[in-house]
Amino acid sequence: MTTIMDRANALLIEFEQNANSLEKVTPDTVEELRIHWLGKKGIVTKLFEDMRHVPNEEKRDAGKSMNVLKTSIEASLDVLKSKAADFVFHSILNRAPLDITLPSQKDTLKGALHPITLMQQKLLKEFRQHGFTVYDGPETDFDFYNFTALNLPADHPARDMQDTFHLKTNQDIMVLRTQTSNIQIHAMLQEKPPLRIVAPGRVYRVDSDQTHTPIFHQIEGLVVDKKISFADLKGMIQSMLHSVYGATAKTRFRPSYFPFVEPGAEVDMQCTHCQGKGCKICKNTGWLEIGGCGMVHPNVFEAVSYDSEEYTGFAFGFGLDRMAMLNWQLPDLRQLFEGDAGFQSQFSVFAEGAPC
Amino acid sequence: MLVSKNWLNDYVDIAGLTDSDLDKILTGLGLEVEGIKTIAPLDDLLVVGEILKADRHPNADTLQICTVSIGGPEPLQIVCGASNARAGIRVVVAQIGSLLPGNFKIKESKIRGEKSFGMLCSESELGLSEASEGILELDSTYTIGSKINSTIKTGDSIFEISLTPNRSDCNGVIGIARDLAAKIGEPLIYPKSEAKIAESFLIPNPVKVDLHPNSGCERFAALYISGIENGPSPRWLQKRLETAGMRPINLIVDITNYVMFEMNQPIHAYDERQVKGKSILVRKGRDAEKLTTIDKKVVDLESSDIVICDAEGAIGLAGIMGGLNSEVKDDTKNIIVEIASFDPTCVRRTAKRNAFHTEASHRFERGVDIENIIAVADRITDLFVLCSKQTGKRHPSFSKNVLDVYPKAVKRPRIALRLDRARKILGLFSLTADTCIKHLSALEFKLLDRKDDRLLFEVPLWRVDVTREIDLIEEIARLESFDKIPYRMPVMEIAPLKENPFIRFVDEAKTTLASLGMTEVITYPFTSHIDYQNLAITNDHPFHPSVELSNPLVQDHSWMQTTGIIGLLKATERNHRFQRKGARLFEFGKAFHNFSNREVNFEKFPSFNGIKRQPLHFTERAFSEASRPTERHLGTFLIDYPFQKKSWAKEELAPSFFDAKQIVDSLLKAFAIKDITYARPSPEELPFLHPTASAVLKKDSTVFGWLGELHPKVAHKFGFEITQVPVVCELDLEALFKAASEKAVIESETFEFPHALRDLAFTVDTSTTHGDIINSVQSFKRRKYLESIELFDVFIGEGIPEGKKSMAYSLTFRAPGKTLQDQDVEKELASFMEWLQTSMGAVKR
Repeated sequence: MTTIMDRANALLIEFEQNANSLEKVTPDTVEELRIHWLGKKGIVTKLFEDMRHVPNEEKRDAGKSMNVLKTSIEASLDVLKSKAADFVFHSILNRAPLDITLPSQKDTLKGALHPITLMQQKLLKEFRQHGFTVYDGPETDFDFYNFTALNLPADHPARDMQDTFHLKTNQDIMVLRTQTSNIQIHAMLQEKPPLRIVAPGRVYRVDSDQTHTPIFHQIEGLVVDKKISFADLKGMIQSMLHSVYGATAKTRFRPSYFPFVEPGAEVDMQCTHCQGKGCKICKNTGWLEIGGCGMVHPNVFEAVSYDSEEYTGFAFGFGLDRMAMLNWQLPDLRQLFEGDAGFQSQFSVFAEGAPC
Repeated sequence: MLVSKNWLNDYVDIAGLTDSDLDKILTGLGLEVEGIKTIAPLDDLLVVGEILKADRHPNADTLQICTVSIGGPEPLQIVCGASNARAGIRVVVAQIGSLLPGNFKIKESKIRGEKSFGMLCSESELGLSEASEGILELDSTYTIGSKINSTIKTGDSIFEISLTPNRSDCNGVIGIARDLAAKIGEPLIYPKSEAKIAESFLIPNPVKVDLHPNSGCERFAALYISGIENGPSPRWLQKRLETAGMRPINLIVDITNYVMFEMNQPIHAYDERQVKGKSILVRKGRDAEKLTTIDKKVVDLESSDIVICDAEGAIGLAGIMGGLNSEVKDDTKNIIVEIASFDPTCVRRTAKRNAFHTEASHRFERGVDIENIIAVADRITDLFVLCSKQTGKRHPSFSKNVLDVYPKAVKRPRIALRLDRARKILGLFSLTADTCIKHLSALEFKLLDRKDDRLLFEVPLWRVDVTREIDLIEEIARLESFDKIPYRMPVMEIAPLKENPFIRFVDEAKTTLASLGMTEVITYPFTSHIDYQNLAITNDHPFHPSVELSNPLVQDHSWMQTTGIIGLLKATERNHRFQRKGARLFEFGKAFHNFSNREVNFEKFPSFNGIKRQPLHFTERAFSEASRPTERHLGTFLIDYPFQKKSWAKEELAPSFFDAKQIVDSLLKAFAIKDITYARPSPEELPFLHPTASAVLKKDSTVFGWLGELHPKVAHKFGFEITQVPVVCELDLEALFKAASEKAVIESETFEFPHALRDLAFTVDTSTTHGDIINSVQSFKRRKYLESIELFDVFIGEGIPEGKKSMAYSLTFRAPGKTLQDQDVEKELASFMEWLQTSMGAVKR
């Protein structure tokens, strides 16, 4: 009868033959080998089970040779495992090369904000930094807020400046607001002076062509305090435009008429595309019309029971759509409201930093 | 308002200013120049000539060989095709080398064998009119050999001024000239009055004028002119009217129009033959009264209209247009000229009601100078005399006195100006009283009194817009130039008001949706009843529209939207037409409801109870606020088919309910809104969604919105393939905001001890929902370590009994402060399975 020791020695030789004859050294074949030899029902495990038949005096030597067998196998398996890992790395790195010119997934998903939203976010950020509070107001409103309280009484010819949508109500006294200026009245009826607010929003006019749409968007500002002057208005607006368009943006204020301000002015900004030399964008005038502004008319203060002697203030309104059109050089205003997926998806969420 | 530079130059010397100077000055005055049209002067080589002889061309029947004198020693031979070319008439001769409008150069030529040394010109060839017949015939007042461009002033610049409605005075050329004169410091030259009318041309005024009390007519002057030889007006007058965009008609009409453009006073001439009884009565319209105006429109008069009548009835719609019955004709000899002032509001209302917008109504609505009426009458008289002389026609006779009915003279307003107030408003502290006086005086505001720095001015009545001190300050700023006001920053001592955080929430929600791959669009919020029919929304549904426009742009834009889905569906359908499929669009807009207009049975639509709420902008102050529509802020999105496009690498996928749900859940997570449940709506509530692939978002009784697959029938109505429907969702932003602002907590606890994971698969009835399983976790009483469960498989089919489905969950167990032992986990897992079995008959697989 062969001793355990002999069997162990023979098995070690057999293992090495076994290991050497592996066709491929892969994690699978190595694991198979391990299970065959060291697994729960493996050869070596069985041999350990035979230990109980070994007479006690031989057990020590037998155990020794068994351990030698086991550690030798384990060591060989470790070497094989690392070879198997090399095989895997090799196979990953040597798979069929990609045709890297294949197209990526069509229309890679990316979100987009509307250019008007982007413009609005940009302006609100600046105004908040200037200490303005953002205010909101209704789009359907009483004639009182949209006109009468803004020094535009019924039958005033200046009402012709804005083609108004009227709501069918019992007395026809409600309109879709034609200007965000209605928010001035809401704000002043709710807050005591002094105040400094800015209010973006949608406005409506009965109009539709290449440069007019029945809806468009404005951003309104109102500053009321005891020492507010036209000089402050000029400074504030210039500073605003500098923040948005860079410190070289020149501004021009020229007299105009909006019933709720006096003196009223139109704000022009030197054309950002030709630096005032005259181009297609500014229709060769060198200037771009940005919006209207002026000193709050005392009639308006009186309509909201502010003391028009004690308080003065300025108000302004910019066209967001117009600013967006200038910013991205869009030829047709209507394009903004068609929901065209191709057009809209060009405005990335991250476009806020886009050059203006 | 179109105004010619030459015409302006009559009243203020601007000859030294270039067009661009004038543009800057006018725009700087608030008279915005929108465009300038330059009319080049005619070439110096165009001169007046006289045809001495006109012979037939030997080789052409329609041509003549003219011998033309242009003042030189030798007459010219010119071949001419015009039939009116004949000996004795004076004509315009284009000499060799001259350049005609349109860059047409005259050369020596041979026409059918005969030499021609120039051309005889027609009006159209000279650019004087669009079309003309024959050559232009000049009268004998034109000197032979004189240059045409010095005789007929043809070089000019037409300024198109965008007048603001406050500057009614600038509807007259003199008004614009006055502003210019004040700005450039030149005197304003009023038109010179001609010499007195000879006694022999003065006749008694046969006209009677009567104004009813409250007629709306504040002043009425009647001038009687007889013996007019009507016909074309002189060329210079016609040219002037053309520069103002008006077509010349005849002498009488042209003179009244000319004076209107010059002095901003509408004038109407009646044919005396048609004014019964030569008497004029101004009164309000009567019931069932009708008037046919010159443009042949029949107007039903109302008691608010001001009507001009003769002894028999209406002959004119005051301030708007004359009646056809009394219109001046080519053979009219005697006229009654009306120079009047009418109530602006009455004129405006009548004009609006009848859709008139005439040169007269435009001016009366904005206000005319009631003091100016006699000066206007004198100017008309002068022009009739001047024109009769120029055209060599009969000198008409004029009524000795202008009949002037002016019951209550209007006084010029007096306004005090405080210098310190002007400085304060403008922020222009260097402003002096003398500067104020200089500017206002230049505009003919009269300084009545001066006490220190308090100045009292009398305002001329042509400035209807100047009524308060602030208006004087504006005039000063305008003339001083806004450019002189410095740039300063407002110094404010207050902290900003507390901002409504909802405004930021809306912006953040937009950015979140965009970062989830959605594209923001803006569509018109106008809808029609058909849109709601297409959505299968019934008349009693809360989404049935209730805010109607009385003047929509187009009929199918009559109603304000109650849901954003219509706009998105239409935009998507449009995208399909342009081969853009698979868009993921979102829009933030408003829904408009007026529940005071309409009863909605909310019991039938319990999910929408919350829409009936007080408008956000409700204030108690103003009248009838209760009828204010409710404006709900909505966030609507749509995921179009396909969700994933087919490519070499991927299969085409349809969007599913769960793709929309994923977006909603991400949004909820971004704002830490918890415990929202997805409930099945009743079929009436969301009739436009697939009945079993739709949900209402709820927390307790609050509804946050809805989502689902578009109903195939609705998809069909909106032009979609019924097998390729989009999924849609609409969120009520105010409700979401309220839930979000309930304090978002960021879980910052990190776990020291590892969790244990176990998988559990079981079968339940197919009617059991994932929500039921989640609920059973909540009600699992012996729960100790079970932290969360996550569904990873739902399966119906082979190996699963009929009426059952298999659900597989991954369970997370965690114990605070210790590492879980296997036996603890196994025990709780078994106990949970037991609970599922007892509570819902689940069978472990």
